[in-house]
Amino acid sequence: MLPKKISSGEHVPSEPYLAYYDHEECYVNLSGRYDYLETSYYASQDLECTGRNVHPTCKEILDAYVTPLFLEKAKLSGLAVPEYYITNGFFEPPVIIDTMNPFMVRSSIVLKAGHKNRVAKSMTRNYTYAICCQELPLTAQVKYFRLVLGWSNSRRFREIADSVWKVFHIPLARIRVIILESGEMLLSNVEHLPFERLNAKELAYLQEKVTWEE
Amino acid sequence: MGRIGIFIERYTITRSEEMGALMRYSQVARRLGHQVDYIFRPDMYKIPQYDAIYIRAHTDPLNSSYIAARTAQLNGVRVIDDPDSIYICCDKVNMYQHLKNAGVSMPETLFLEQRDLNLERGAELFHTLSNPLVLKAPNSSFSMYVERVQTPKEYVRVGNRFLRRADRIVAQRFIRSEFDLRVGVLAGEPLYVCQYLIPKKRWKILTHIENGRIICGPVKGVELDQADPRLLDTALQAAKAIGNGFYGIDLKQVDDGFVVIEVNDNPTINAGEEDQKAPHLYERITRYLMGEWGLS
Repeated sequence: MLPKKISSGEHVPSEPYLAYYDHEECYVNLSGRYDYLETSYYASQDLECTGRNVHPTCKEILDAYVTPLFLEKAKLSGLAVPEYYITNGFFEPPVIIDTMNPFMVRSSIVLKAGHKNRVAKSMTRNYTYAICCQELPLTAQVKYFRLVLGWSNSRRFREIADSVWKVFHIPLARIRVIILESGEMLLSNVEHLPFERLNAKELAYLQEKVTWEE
Repeated sequence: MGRIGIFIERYTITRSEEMGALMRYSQVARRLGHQVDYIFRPDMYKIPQYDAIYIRAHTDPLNSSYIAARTAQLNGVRVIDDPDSIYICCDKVNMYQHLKNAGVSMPETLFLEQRDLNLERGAELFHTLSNPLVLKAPNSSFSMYVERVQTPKEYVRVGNRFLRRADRIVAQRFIRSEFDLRVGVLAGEPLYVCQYLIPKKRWKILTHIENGRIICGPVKGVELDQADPRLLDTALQAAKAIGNGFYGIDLKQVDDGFVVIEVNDNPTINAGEEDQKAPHLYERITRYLMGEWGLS
């Protein structure tokens, strides 16, 4: 089916939010929520299986949303990331912890050693699954920005947003960064940014960039 | 000399046959002059230091084994199983779609979503695919979440249960047989053939029963040069549809040849079972990992 150009009030996109991104000559899955084996994941897979160029691909989804892979790929692509390690439960605060298991997606910032055991037990589901720990310098800040096709509404994050899109090709995402005292930004994690939660400026930006699939 | 890391999990070695296969593999790799280490989850940071990674743990894109495989690939380290094979094979919808696209011979297979789970559609599927039919959750393994249904009501009940695990499930024509054939394929070449005999009063090779026990039949090795060439051809075609990695292709014999039931990444290798008629199995895996053959 030929894509339809969106114009104000003409077309209300609906699931699975597929569009054509003219600038990069690819389809984009703009669901913003790419859980494994769910409808949006299959929307990307269906396009891949028919040989069409789509972002994110299933592999790109896994690269972005499995935290240690996100960090490894970012690091290998020259983007700054914190020191991190994978553990069955042992860690030393202050850290940011992300789960690594099929049944739970959770993050936790642990600043005090007194919380170690409780958090480790909970985040590993009683030491069954591994966790990914990112070292968090005491003077650092944890911030988030929203990414829309490599663009951010906040000027401060536009350069890093562009870099994240070039490496990961996730069209809509909420990105966690660690900002050091020096101002350096370290990429830390990717979270879902569902299409329905885009604000007016972000929607307007998308409307300029994409042509919707009916 | 190369360095090979075998990624394992605590549960990898629950049977002596599993342990035996790992020991045999390590001995062969060492005899060929390579260093072999076992890697656990907290050792994953060492993966870039190895020449090759051999994954012997349950694979799933959301498990540590996928992280190990993808970390190896990102760092240019040769790996079995490669992450592409894992994410295709661990989702049966994706796997069957690849087989369909490549025209591989297989039982009629449909993908279902929530809107298909009603009695009318069930009755229609029994008419189209035969009765009974087989329902599979896409992320099932070791025959779990694979069930045979015989009535529309059962179809809706089992289908809804499987849809809690994913937004699509697989419905497939049921093919009765006394055994499944497994062809192990690496880099487009057959490594071993065996028969998994189906236990009496069961319809699949592994059945998980309520008290946690598993009922399975014996494994019978077949010499590669004794295997039906049509079996090997079909298996190789299926492997090619997925990639260039290591696969266990499950097939059943039908009147006019063989059909592929599924393609498994990370196929089981147990000492005295899959390797019983494949004396060079471990050597070939090692040589593949060290880049001596099978480069795609």
